[in-house]
Amino acid sequence: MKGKFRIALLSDDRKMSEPLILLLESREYCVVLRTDFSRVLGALYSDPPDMIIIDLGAFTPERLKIVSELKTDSYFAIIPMIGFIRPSIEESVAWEQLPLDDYMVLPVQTPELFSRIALSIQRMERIFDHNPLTKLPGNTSIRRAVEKSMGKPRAVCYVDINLFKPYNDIYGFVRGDEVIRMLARIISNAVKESKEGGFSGHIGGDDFVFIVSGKEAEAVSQLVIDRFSMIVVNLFDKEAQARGYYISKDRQGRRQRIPLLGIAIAIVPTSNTAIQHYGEVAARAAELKKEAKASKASCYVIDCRKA
Amino acid sequence: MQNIPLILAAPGMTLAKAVMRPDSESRMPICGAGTALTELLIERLDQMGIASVLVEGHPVLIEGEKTPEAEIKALDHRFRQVCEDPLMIRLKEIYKDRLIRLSEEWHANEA
Amino acid sequence: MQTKREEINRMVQDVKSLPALPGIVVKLRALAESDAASLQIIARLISSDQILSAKVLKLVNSPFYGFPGRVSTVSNALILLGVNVVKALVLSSSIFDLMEENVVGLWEHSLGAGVAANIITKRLALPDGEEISTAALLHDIGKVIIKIKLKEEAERIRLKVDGGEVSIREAEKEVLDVDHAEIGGWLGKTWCLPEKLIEPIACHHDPVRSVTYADRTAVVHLSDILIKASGFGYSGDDLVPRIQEAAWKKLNLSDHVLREIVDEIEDKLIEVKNFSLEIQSSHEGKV
Repeated sequence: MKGKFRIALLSDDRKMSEPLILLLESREYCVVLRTDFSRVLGALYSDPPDMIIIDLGAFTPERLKIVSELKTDSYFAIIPMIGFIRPSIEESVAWEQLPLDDYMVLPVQTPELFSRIALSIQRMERIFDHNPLTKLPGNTSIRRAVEKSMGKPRAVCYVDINLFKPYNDIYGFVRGDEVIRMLARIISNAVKESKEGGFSGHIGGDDFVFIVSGKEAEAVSQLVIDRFSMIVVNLFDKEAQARGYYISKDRQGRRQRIPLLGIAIAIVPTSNTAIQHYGEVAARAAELKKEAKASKASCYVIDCRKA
Repeated sequence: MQNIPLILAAPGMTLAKAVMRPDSESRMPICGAGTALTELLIERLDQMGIASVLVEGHPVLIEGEKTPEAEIKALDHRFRQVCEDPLMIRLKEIYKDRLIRLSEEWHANEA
Repeated sequence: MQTKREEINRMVQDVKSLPALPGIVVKLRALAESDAASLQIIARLISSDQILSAKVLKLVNSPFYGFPGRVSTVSNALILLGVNVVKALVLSSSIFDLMEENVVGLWEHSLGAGVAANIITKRLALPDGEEISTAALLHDIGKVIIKIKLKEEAERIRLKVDGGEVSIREAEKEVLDVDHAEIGGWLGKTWCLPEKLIEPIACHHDPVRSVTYADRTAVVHLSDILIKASGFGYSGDDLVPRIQEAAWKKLNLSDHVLREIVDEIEDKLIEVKNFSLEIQSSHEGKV
């Protein structure tokens, strides 16, 4: 089903873009040119390409914002992005703060462009630690993010879904995957909307992690819980929605009432200096999770132990 | 008495009914019946999310608005293809009664 | 040879976007620029416009996000897409060049039907009020497609309606061999919208054809008729359609309750009018 590889070229410089499009098309790439930068984000969101080439021109805030906006949305962060920059400004660019995958100096040399495109795609696939289902960062990135927040006024929050297995058994794994994808979006959007921002990752299965500031951890957790319960009713049939539970059989074949899906969140503040290792964060979270799971409804539990 | 979109409210008009806070369950009144509207008050109401107010008299003609008599004529005209259907006749009566009520208020005000 | 129906069906499958009212986009732009704009405020404003609502629902239900056909309300779409994605999407919307009278009329009619559906579902204590009002808001989206994509035919339809005792739906069938309800349903399918939105849209003039979501379709059917009875907005003709008996029975309303519903809708329509005048003046820049 895979069609041509689609490249979105963002540039308002027709002199540069027109011959470039011809060249790329001669290499069997399908190119979509976007010239109106004020509307480019919406266009990319509604019609996502396989790769983005952005003419950064004079590094206007508008264009830099496009780069950072796309790279902070998990679904778009994995689309390779190459920036074109003008000669002589290379040294003045704050590269550490620019989440580009690669850059080229104008005027673009075509053989070099083709090899950079190929390498960017390859690199993205090689360092791809993201979960294929949700496109959120996976375990290597999670570990790095947790370690980075240790000793800081932040909190690591572990999320999982209550009674997910019977749901999968009754409604099928395709539906189960939809629940996982929705939860991933709910978490990453709630984190992004928080004042200080943060990190969202997918450990695997129905286990997620997010990291936000210690002050906001409870509010973000509650938001994730509220939004999940708003969304999740759509994934049940009418009867279950009305009754608030569905019927499943336990291992002995007895009929059981299973409540609609909820989530449990364990919040481990990392300002606690007693926690030294990544493993300890996870261990504390596992204990707290038991507590959270004792309640049938969605809830969060926070680690209050002193150092 | 006329229910008007707030955007058409003007200083000098008088509230015919108290305006309530739209967001609170307790229906707290913001200002009571008989209050004269001022530029400042209208602005405040707008900020609070009030979209319509009930004012005394019939001070404005809302775009396209006709006299109640003309409205009744227009109503008959809209129902012209279904005027044999018993259910639709009943529906039309509901609208007509409403217009007659408005018409009485309108004329009471003229007198 | 391709019939007219097939030709239109194929055309609908290529519809990527539709223009929105400039006034709404201006308002949303102002909102989007302030960081404080909350999810609820943005959701409420988008929910007042059929085109923007459809656009947001199209994106969230697209296969790209991996839950096609599952999301049927704007507020849920915002939760899943994220505020930034929705803001960008709205800002990139194409808009009508001018606020034509008929375009504003159809917008008012659609929003009015959404408001009416909300009031009816509350009175009937039906669950999923927001979903049903979304379906009512979108019920005439087929008319926008005809207006935008079939300009010459749209003009012929208008002449037929103006010329005599023909409803817009009958005129559409004569000219296109298909009506706006069915076209709206086709668009819903193409855009992967949930069936619970598609069915009420496609069957709102003929609710007996609605099988799975008959309740919702009946509500949308009645909402459309009440707004036309009220003379609010303009949906292409000034004829009140007949309430279908099966739908009426399904709703099981007494005349007394219907009277209360009508009163409540009429009061609420004054607020809608306020909003409409605001939108029109924000476009003209007078505010």
